[in-house]
Amino acid sequence: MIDVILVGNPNTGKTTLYNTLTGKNEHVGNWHGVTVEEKFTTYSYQNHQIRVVDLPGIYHTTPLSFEEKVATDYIYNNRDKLIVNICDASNLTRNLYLTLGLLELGTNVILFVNQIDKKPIRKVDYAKLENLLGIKIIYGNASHKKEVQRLNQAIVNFQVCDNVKYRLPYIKNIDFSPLKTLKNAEKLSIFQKIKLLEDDEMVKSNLNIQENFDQVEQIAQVKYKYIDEIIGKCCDRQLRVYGKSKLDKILLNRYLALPIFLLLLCIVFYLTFFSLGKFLSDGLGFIFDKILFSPLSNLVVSKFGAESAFTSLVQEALIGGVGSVLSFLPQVALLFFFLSILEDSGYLARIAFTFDDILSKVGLSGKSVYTLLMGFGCSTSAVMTARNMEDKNSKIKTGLLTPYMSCSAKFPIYTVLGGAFFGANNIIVILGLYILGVVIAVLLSYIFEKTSLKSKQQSFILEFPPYRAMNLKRVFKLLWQNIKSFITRIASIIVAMNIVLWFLSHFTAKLEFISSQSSSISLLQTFGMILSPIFAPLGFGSWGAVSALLAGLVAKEVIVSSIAMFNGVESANLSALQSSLLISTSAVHFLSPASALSFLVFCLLYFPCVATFSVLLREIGFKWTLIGSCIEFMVAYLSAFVIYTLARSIEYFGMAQVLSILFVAILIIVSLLFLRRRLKKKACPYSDHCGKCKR
Amino acid sequence: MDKLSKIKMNKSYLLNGFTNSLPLKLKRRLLDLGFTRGEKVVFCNKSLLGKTYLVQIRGVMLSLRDQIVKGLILE
Repeated sequence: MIDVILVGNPNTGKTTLYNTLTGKNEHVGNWHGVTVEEKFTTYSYQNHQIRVVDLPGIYHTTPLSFEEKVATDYIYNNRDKLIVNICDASNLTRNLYLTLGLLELGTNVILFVNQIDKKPIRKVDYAKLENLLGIKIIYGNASHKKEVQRLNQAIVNFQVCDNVKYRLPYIKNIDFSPLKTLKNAEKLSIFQKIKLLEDDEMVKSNLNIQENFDQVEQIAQVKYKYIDEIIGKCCDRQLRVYGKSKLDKILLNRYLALPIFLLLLCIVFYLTFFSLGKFLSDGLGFIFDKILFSPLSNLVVSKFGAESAFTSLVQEALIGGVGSVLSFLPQVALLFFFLSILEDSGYLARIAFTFDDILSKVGLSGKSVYTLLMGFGCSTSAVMTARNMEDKNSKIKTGLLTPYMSCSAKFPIYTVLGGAFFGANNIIVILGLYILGVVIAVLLSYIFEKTSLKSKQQSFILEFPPYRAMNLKRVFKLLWQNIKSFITRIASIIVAMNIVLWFLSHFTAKLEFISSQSSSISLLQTFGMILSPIFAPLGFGSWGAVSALLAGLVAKEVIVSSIAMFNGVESANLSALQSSLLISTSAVHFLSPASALSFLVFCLLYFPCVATFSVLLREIGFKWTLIGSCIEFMVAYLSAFVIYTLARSIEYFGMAQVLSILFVAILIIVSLLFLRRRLKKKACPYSDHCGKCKR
Repeated sequence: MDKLSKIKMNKSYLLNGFTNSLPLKLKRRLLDLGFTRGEKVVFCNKSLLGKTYLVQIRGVMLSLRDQIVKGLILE
């Protein structure tokens, strides 16, 4: 077995190479920090078993963030393994800095120069570079199988030939004299000496040394001088700047950047949820009904009778419940399609730049944008990307805020309830819910920043990737992955949950089946009725609505499927489900648009699903997950109550009167705050000198 | 750069070191990214509120928060 570790700077194509080598389909993107944990698999090449590990990107062998620590720890603990160092041909100078770090560590290195851009920005004499560095160099495109075969060959041969003598001539230019004060300094390896001069915490604690040498600048200076020398010898002049584009004059314009982003977001939402998405979703629902569900339902009725328990299970739990969620597949696919284009294009880094200073006001950074945007797709995977954050508090904060984003599992709820109660105004309701999630997240971030989770360092440094034309193969691979995951969730969690819920809602405590004519109370109904008074002030105190919310803790899609099942909907047709919500005898019904809106707000903000919960536990710990969950419930309850009260007031008194009352209330609050500030200033006896008064 | 208002867009500056106010962690990351003495730094753009800068160094584009820019000694 040959062990290979893929190491390189962020966004150099490590995961692309990993996928090509192994045939896997791991997530890749044109953004720094897509990979946040190690991944490994084994593949065979010419009768050799090769175990390859893909690590998060690093700039240096001294880690500065959580995902970098994962990578460097792995390298230190496996320094006898073969390292394939991936470099981006367009950014060779910076990438070689890490290569030198790996060579200092004494590892076996093969350099794979990945020509990500089709038009390289400089010509490189690889033979000369190989000779100067003294290591094997393979160059090619990480996504091309044929070119990657040469790397496989080099990996196999490396094990046979072994031991290439690395050349690190710059070592003689490093001033090691500050280490003279140490006992046994001569016994230290070159790597240890350099790391001590760089004040690397891990090496210092391993050697039990407390002294600070503060020579990090000297080391970087010497190494970059050496890199500049070898680049000068084997590369011609750089033709253009990595990551610079004429497009940025418009997309990063101080005044146009934000409106352009918002416009793009509106177009994406419109296409996904309304025009194209709705058309495809309705079509799929119709096809499922005509081809699959109606014949299946007829067959079951003819075999088992209309009133049998099995017929009820198939019609309500499987056809109605699962079918209603399955018809949202095109919209989920479209949302992920647009998100993957966003990730692949390189625009994401520009969004991070645009939003960084706005987010800095609430204690977040531009890097949070990636996590929060990915939260629109799936909160579970988005929470993991919070590892990119430089400090612990920012990581916890970003992790806690991600579930407030409207993930793809929530929009079936918005579409079903919104369509039933708001008709053509549904677009405003859905957009409003998306915005509400963001606003609540921003407000909470501000509160966290001012109280317990103050960001220690506002250290936003982000490299701009070049714009890339959409790689259809990659985008469709990612799309297929998400479609597969959605169908798997339906086939596993949602089917299982629906069967459990069907059992609980169709059997009494004495385990007697409740047919449609029976008036007995089910197990779930009893449980729902106990909890329903808690939700009565929010306008949806029916046992069905409460049970659907509880079921939604497993996966948010279950809310729609359980509503369909409780209401006895026997088709994948969306309008049948929507009509059932308006009937007062249905298990889940809403008396007014106000109570439906309140339910939607609660669904948006309450606890995340079990999968996200478990990732949060792992990433931010038990204490903060528990605190976060309590906050989520309180915020959801309070927001739903406020929205319900406001909406009811509008229903009774009309929009104009409620708005005028709100305006007066806000005016009074602002005046009181202003007055308080003025009084505070006057009360200060040292108003001109104390520094606290901003006069 | 003490006064950020002095920074002119699309003008190149020579990096002459770091101020003591810059935390070691950030200094280290900047050095990893090639912010070494004598290197040419070009400021290309700044964000809406002017707190984040887009800089060009060693043929690469990077965005930096103003607090980091304050920690650079530029000429």
